[in-house]
Amino acid sequence: MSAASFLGLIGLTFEYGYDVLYFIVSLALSWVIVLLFIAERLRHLGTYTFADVVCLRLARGPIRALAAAGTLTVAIPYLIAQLVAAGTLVQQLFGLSYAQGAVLAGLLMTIYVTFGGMIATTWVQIIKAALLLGGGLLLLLLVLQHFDFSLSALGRQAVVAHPRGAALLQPGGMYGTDLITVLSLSLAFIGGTAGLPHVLMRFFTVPDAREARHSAALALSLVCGFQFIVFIVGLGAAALLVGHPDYSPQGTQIIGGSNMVAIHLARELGGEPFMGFIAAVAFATILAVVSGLTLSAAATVSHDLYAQAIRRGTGSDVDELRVSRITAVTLGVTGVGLAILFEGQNVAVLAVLPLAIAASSNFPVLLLAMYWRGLTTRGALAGGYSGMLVSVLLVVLGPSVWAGAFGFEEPLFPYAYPTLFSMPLAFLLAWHVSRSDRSVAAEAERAAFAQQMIRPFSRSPGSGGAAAGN
Amino acid sequence: MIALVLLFDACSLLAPALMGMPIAPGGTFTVGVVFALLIVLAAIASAVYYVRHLNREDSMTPSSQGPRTNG
Repeated sequence: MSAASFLGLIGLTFEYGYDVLYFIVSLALSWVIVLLFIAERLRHLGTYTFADVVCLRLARGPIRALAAAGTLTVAIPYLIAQLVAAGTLVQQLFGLSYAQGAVLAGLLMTIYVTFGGMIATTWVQIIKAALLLGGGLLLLLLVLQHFDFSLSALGRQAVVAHPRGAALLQPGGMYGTDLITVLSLSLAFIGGTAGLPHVLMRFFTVPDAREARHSAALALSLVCGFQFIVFIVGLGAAALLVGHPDYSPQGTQIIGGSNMVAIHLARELGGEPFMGFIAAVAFATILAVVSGLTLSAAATVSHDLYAQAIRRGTGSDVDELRVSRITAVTLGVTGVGLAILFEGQNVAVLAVLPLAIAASSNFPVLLLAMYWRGLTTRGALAGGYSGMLVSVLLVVLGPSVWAGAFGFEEPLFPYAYPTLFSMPLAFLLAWHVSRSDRSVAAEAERAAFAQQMIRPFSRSPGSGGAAAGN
Repeated sequence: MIALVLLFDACSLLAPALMGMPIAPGGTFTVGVVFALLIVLAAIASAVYYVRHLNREDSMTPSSQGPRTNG
């Protein structure tokens, strides 16, 4: 439950109505995948990051470099989405410029991660989840109360008020009849959630596999329920805010952009105090998500890349902590700079881009490493890097970056998300290269698959490379 | 579940042609929302079933869980 799903999806429902259901069903499925295929196996293996899992039987150095590249490639666009929301929020609430808002959020995030660490981030996650659920539920009740708890009255009013009329409740407003984009969107969620580093990392804040299972099931139920709340609230916003002189005097061109719909709706229904509460909750959500994300990226760089791949386990904890803090600051600066470039874009759309990259790079390697004995280091590298490079390239050439951020008239890649092309490519290359790998190291890696499942608990995190010993 | 979601995508894309507004105003939305709700409920139900099933297995074979760790 991020700012993207709260602010962004309410804004998308306000503009496009029905098509947001694509996001909701795909998100529900993504958590089933996490629960059934990832959570327990990951916790059973007793490892700490994506790299630790893959390194259990594959070559440590190159795999950790791949993991670090994958984590950073996913973390930066995800940071952009959250900081765009933060910048817009601060701009509208405090009268600062958008850039100042993004800088302020980036600064808070960096300080928070640098000095707070995992425990502080976890507590903020818990508190913001409760507040966000409570705030969303209250907003839903106020919307329903306005229509005497009649969903049909709400729908009728939305159709009457919205410039798209009855088409608001029909598919096609956002993606038309573009099957490739819609399937790519679904695949991005299906694989992407399981490939997000800050989601994987959460399974190590619970004591055992039983709790990991409970956490994933609870998260699934809450997230699914929350998405439906967001959908109805978005329709309520379409019914109440379109054409409103204070918020949206020109049709659906809402003041502050589509990311501000939830904030305006809160003000309309609950006045200034409720708007302040929802804005504070949204900001806390952004802070929590970017902190978790930055923390996982910083941990990957310091633990996987610096301590394990570069220093090969000889560095001190103090060095590792210093690298982690430097990474957090660097990510903060990079994220803010890029967020300024993406001003005005819907954050829900932006947040799917890192999911598409994660689904094409981290997810195939993670899944194959855990379930397929035939995966070798060469196969993992071929699949991981090709999925990452192709997905990033197609995202850059696509509508959100090429046209939205760079300002070109037509994108070079016509589809909003690349997953339908990049994810199968990653799986295919990982499979093909692994199958054709006849090296001695590959044979040892295949033989180590059974051992990986037998004695996971005796292994300390980061001690990978069991098979190849490299 | 994956098939259900892909079916939802395909049906939604074909819906304007199959159930266009002149034939059934609001019908696509109602069917779509109910379909989406069913998918979400199926996801939650499968999660609850899975967790209960494995917890029952765990309670019968506690040694398979291994020692508790604190991550």
